[in-house]
Amino acid sequence: MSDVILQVQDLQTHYLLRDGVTRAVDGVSFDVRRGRTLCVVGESGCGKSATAHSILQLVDEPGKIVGGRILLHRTHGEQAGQVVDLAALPARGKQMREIRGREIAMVFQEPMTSLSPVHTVGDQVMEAIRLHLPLPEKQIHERAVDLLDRVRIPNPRRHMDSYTFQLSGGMRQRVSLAAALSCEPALLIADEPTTALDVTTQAQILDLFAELQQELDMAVMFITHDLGVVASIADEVVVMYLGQVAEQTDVDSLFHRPAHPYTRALLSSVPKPGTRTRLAPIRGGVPSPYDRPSGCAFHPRCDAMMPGVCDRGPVPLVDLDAGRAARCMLYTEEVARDGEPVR
Amino acid sequence: MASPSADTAHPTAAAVPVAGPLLEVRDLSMHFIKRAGLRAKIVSNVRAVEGVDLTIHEGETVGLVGETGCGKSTLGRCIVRAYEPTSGQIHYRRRDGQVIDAAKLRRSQLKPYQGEVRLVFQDPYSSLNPRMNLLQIISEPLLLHGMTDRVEREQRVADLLTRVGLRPEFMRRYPHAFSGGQRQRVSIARALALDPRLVIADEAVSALDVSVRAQILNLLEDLRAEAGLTYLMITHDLGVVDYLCQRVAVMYLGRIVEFGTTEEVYGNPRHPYTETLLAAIPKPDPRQRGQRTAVTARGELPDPGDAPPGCPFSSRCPYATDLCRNEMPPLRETSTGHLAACHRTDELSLRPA
Amino acid sequence: MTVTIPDGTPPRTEPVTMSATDPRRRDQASQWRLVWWRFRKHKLAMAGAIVLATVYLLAIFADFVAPSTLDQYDTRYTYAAPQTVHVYDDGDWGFYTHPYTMQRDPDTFEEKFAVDESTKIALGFFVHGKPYEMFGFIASDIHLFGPVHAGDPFYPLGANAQGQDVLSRVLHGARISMSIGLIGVLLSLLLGLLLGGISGYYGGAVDTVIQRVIEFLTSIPTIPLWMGLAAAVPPTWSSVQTYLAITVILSLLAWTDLARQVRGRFLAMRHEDFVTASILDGAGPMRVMWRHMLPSFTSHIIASVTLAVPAMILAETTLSFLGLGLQYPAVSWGVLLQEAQNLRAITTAPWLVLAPGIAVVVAVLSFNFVGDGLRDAADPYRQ
Repeated sequence: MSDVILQVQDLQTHYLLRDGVTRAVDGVSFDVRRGRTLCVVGESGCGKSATAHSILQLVDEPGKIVGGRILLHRTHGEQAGQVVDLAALPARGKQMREIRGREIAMVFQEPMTSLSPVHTVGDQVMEAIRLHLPLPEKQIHERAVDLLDRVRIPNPRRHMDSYTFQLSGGMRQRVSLAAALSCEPALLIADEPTTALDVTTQAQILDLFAELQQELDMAVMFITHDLGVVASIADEVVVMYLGQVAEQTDVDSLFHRPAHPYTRALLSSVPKPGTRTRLAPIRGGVPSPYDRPSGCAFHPRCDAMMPGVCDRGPVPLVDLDAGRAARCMLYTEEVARDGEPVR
Repeated sequence: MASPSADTAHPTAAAVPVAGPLLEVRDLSMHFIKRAGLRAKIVSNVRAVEGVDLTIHEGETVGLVGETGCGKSTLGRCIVRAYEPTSGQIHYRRRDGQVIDAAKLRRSQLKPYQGEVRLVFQDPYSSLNPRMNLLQIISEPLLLHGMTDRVEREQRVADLLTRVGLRPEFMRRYPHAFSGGQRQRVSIARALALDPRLVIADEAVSALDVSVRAQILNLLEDLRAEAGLTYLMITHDLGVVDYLCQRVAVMYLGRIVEFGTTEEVYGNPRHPYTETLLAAIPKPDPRQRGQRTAVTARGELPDPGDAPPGCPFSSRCPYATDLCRNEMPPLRETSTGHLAACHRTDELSLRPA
Repeated sequence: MTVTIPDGTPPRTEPVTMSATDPRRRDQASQWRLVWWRFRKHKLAMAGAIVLATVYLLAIFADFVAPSTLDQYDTRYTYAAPQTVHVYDDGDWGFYTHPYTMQRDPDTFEEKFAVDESTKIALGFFVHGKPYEMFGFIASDIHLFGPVHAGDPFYPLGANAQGQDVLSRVLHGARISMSIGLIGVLLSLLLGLLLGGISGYYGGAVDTVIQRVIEFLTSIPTIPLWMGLAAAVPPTWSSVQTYLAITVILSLLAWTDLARQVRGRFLAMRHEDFVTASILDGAGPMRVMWRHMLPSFTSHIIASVTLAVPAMILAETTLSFLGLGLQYPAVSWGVLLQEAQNLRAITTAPWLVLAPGIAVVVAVLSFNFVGDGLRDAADPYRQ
């Protein structure tokens, strides 16, 4: 069996609003592999969260998956070994409910939105187990204690009876992680899980992610806007801009030989520790999704913009070496042949 | 680098101007007392800021870092006198050289002080009144400080908008027409309207996207150079402090635990909490991944309501002794211009950033 | 430290991203314009607004619009049934209706009206009828629509026990019914803003006292309280005085909801960043309240006021229906309904109930639609 758990192919999720159609996800493709962490990184409005929500069919009205395939290689239950297209399943159907939480689990930025304030920590983790695993009540309890212990909650037996409001932000995030891991999912989607946390807590949670992934051999899709977090945990990286994949690469290349001008600009927008060289920010702001620029969506802010090339026609995602790819005219054959070769 | 002799003066210490400080906060405390019922019985008392000393010299940028709930924003709001401090002094040297205690100013006397010491808020959405256009927003402080001529005000607003990188033609537009970064520019223009001397930026770039954040950081730096501004940057982002600030104060549970030049504090931390904070910053390079293993502190920030009796950090500190748990360490100079509040600061060798 | 400023510093001016529809107008649109643009899109609310405007116009010009005046009666036509208005007259356009002939049932001696199809009563616009004085000083005898020959019977919605035209009475009744709502709500708005504002802005003991008073007022059962207060109105008072007294009574009880809303808003607003910002800009409490806090919820207040008007209309109707409010000869929808409060009216003359009843329902529904639309449009900055 191959290592690929999830294949997203040409995914398109649109929001049909009064002022027009917003293409939140516009032809996104990537693979997520067992035991690897894929970071999806981008600024607000780039479609990284919409992609994650699409995978679990959690897109709210007026959003809709309008194209593409989301192929899940099933590992659990009777259909293990089969491949299902999640995009084709009904969002509220039985099969989707079975997959959510069991094969694909999700943790959110603000754990309070996914945890109930009126149930104890133990109840919520046990409920997550009970939904998918037919086990006797006593075993469920033991498993819940074990899960809390796994996410390094001190004194797990005592905390089974705590309520979420009695816990700090970091502890809550651990609880929602415990609930997410309850059925040992093949894929864990984490939507900015450390953004609301302080640095010291963030460091603890990131360490926890790394440890758990090794223990459980999961695939992790980690959504973030923080390049420091990407550097800490990613294996592969997808850089998104205005609903499209701008660059797809391994993490080392992202930081040491970025291909897309947007990636390069992002990296130079972050202060380097210990240096005071003036930052070179990207011009302007992210355009409104209602009037995305023609041609390359990044061209109005791009320093390498080639008039007459970048501002017209769709830009293909060009394959580079070693599985890297960039959606940039600089790497297309015509430009590489006529102009100076880039990298 | 560990335990340097007390007289090792760091070269950057000379960058601190010799003139008397612009602002000197002494033993400042801010307690939030919640009362309830007709007899106003005290139901809770949160000591958000407790005995803080802080000096800011003219022309420098001082960082104030700490985690959520450490009291850094409260301290900032006490300094601009959005809050009335419970006790302590805020000595402020006015343009004419006279030193006043801003903590003692009555509400009616605040206006001139609040014109010189301004606040930039974190959230660019809630800090601008959505029902006023840019002209009205930015000219409000002008109007209230006596610029009654409409044409003059409009001219001034146009100048301010240009200075913060917005087109003056936008002045009749409402905030809803602008993105987060542009709104933060408007906020800065409003802070600059009265030619302030000290600007307190309360997480002013935290809510912004990476690329826009860099624009605003550059803008703040340019304005400092142009107008000789002094900044107090309140932030949880240690990268921002490293980039912008000459000196940095680290706050924990309402107290300042370490204060010194940025180079000193980052390169030679003298408080275990600073070590923990610095160790927690994700390194922006995957090749340094193995190096961020030592997260030294256990657990998380305790509730400010039940801080430990001794050193506030003792409950999480890996180096804590009985002395730490029972006796509060004073903030004292460990080397010239570098202060730390730790009993064991001289014996520990702490890891730099 | 060194800050190196490279030569190719990107220009600091950002291009402004604009939304798809009419960006320049949108960007410069004030709060009220945005509210109006959103309200306009609410179809039901727009319909409600048009109906309300029509009802108020009809009420204001009731003397002119109504075919007959309030003091016009004809005992020959007691409980006369509604007449059909014909538009087409034997190959020619023209309005006419048929008169009645009265017959008495030989067994029960009950009066019965039969339409006399052999004769026609010509109808027309701007006809001369019974003279009236509009607003007390415009004397005229021209009516918008009615019989061409003054004195011909014309009862498009039937007649009551005195042989008075129900349509005319409903039109006249709209005056009191529709204005008692507005005046009552204005009074309670004043009380609510004042007491809610004080409560929210000052807090402390004042707040506690006002909140307890509100709780006390809302815990009193309404109908007995109305009965008590209405009984205190001296019977010798004229209908206008009673009317004012009733309005005051209603608004004295209705301000509590609004006061609570205002207080809540004030409490929440006190800690908004832009309020703090304006205080730091040097604004005093009055400016903070009037320039920054109130405008951010005026639209909400208008919406909740609009939704409070129908409650007032219904309260007046209920009071008058119970005989506690206005009395004959005053005319309001409640009074009209009270007149129809007997079995005979419902069996033999259902129009006495239906005409004012439908009027109340239409007015209340329209107010609710408009209020809903306003509430949805009230905060254009919410996304």
